[in-house]
Amino acid sequence: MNTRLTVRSFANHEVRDFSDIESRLMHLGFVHGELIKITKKAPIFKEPLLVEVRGRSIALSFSEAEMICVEVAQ
Amino acid sequence: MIPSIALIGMPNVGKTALFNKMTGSFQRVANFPGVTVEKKTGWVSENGHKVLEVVDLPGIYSLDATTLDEKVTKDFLLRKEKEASADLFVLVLDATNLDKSLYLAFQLKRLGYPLIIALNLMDEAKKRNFSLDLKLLSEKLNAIIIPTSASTGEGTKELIATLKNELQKQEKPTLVVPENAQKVFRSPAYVNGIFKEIDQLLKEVTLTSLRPDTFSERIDRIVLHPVWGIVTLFVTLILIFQTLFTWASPIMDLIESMFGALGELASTWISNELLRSLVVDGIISGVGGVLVFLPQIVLLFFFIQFLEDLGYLGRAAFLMDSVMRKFGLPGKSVIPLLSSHACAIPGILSTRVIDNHRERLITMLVIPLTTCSARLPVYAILIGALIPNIAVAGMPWLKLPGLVLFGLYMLGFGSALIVSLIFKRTLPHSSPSMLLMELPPYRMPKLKNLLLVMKNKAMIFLRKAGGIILVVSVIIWALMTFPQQNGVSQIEQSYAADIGRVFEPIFRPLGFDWRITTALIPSIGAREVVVSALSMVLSMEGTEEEMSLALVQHFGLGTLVALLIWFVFAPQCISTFAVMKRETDSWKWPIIMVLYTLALAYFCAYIARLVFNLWF
Repeated sequence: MNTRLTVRSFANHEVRDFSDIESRLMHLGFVHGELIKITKKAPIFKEPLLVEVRGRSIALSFSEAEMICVEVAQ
Repeated sequence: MIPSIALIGMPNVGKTALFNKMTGSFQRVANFPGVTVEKKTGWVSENGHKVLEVVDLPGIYSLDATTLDEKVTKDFLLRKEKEASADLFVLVLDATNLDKSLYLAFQLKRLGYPLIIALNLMDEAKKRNFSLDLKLLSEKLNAIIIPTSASTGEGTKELIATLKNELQKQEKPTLVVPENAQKVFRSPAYVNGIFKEIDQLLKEVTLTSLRPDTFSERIDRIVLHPVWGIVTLFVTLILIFQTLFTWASPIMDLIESMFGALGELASTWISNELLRSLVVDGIISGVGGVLVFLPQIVLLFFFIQFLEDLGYLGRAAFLMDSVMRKFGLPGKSVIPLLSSHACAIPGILSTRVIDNHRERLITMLVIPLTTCSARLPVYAILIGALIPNIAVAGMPWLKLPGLVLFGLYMLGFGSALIVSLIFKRTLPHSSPSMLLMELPPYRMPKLKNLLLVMKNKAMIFLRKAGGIILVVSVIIWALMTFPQQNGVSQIEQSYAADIGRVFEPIFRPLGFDWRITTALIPSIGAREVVVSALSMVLSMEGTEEEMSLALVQHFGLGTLVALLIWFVFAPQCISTFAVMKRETDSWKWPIIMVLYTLALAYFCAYIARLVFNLWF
């Protein structure tokens, strides 16, 4: 939580075209090199996640978050 | 022909507020042709004459549309159908979130759109110390930029003047839409390229940077807190639920007494007995019986819009998403399911907040299981007959009938969740549902916008549901009135009673005789009518307590338990059926809804009677 992460890529885009969800993620700012931060988890089942990207809070379910490959930002 | 302009922009940029400011109360809400996406059209008028038609298009994140709403906007923009487009588009941008809302501006610029930008929320941006070189931004985007504040109305006049001016000189642009547009719009290189351009542009035009929104952060510490967040959500829902009854009651009483007075007036004016009965018992009491719920419905939409404008609706969906998802429903379904406790019609209409078609369908299908307010009179009579008015656990404030009533609500809501789980496992899977939503900053809702929403929703309700109710009321009246003997109506000899007798053998295992099945017929029009129908069938008048006692004497406790359980699960009224048909654009789903609720009601009522008779 609250660790700054850098978006690397989308998990499966090399084996198929980008899906609607991946497309929406990109248009919301989840693009290569972008800094993001997980700021909150929902209280029940610890899902969805609240992720800060380009100054905005985006709610993501686990299945959506799993599509994004990240690494800890330098 | 009045020139037409369309407002486009991302969700939560204040587009609808700007639309309301431009058009005032000259608005009409309908659907886009062929789809159930709401189309808001309004008119800018000068000296009483309409000079501009304004269409408020659904919010769109990018031209790569993924939801039905977004597809409507995209088709409008790309002029898929010539008549379904506008002469000019206004792109509404959020000045407090330019780095994201500029994305659409760059996409449109690349397609060759002449950009007219309403840079909205400028007042909020200024408060947060944000300033930018508007001239340079205008040059870089090759766009006309009008700073606006939809909440104060600042810039609206300039925007309208600019539009009128541009309409005079503008020819429709030639758009350069790539052949494989979707592939291009989804290409990481394309998306990355635009974001880089945005970052570069903002570096150049920003004079003083935007202060972070600490206000929203502070509120979210409570609203999204693991404990206080859930408490806040439930307190909010309970307050809305309570308010729907308490605030709406005086107006509902007023409407009821108005229709009562109208009925009395009609009784004195109309001398012909049959015509008088048609007008008073059929039309006035039938339509009045539904119109009485109008205050609850508009109040409900007021609260939904209030929460949405405030920015809380998304937070509620965030908190409930994982719980509701276990039952095949999205977090956003909390609102329609809650709404349905007032009336299923606004509940079904408010499923429009759910993007995913399958999840929206499941929500609509289970809505009839939640306890609508029309069931309250039925519950009151039957609980009065079945349950002694005693305190529970020695607490004088906690009475057994109240607890049973709460239990019936819970039974309805719990069964809605279980049935949605069954639909989740049986309905064909569609594309995976998206949560993926932005939590907007908190903003104080504007009363004028809320009142406009209430007015529009009331008009929709009156137009769509009112017509059907009128027809059904007349049909039911005719069934209960004819045939007459020597000019007198006898309910026992009516067509309704004949139909009741036809159904009697089917309902006999539940203990229902022809008198109950006859009384169930008008409940197709409106649930609460069953109470008066029962009193008509049993030819009795009196207080609620007397009615309850008479029911026990006539039918016995086991049958009344079955009747109570029947009403927990039985299909909703005909208006719900009609609204469901309209929203799904199909007969299939309303029919499935009726069939499964009938089967469920029959089965549960049968079991309830069996268990009761075994135990007592």
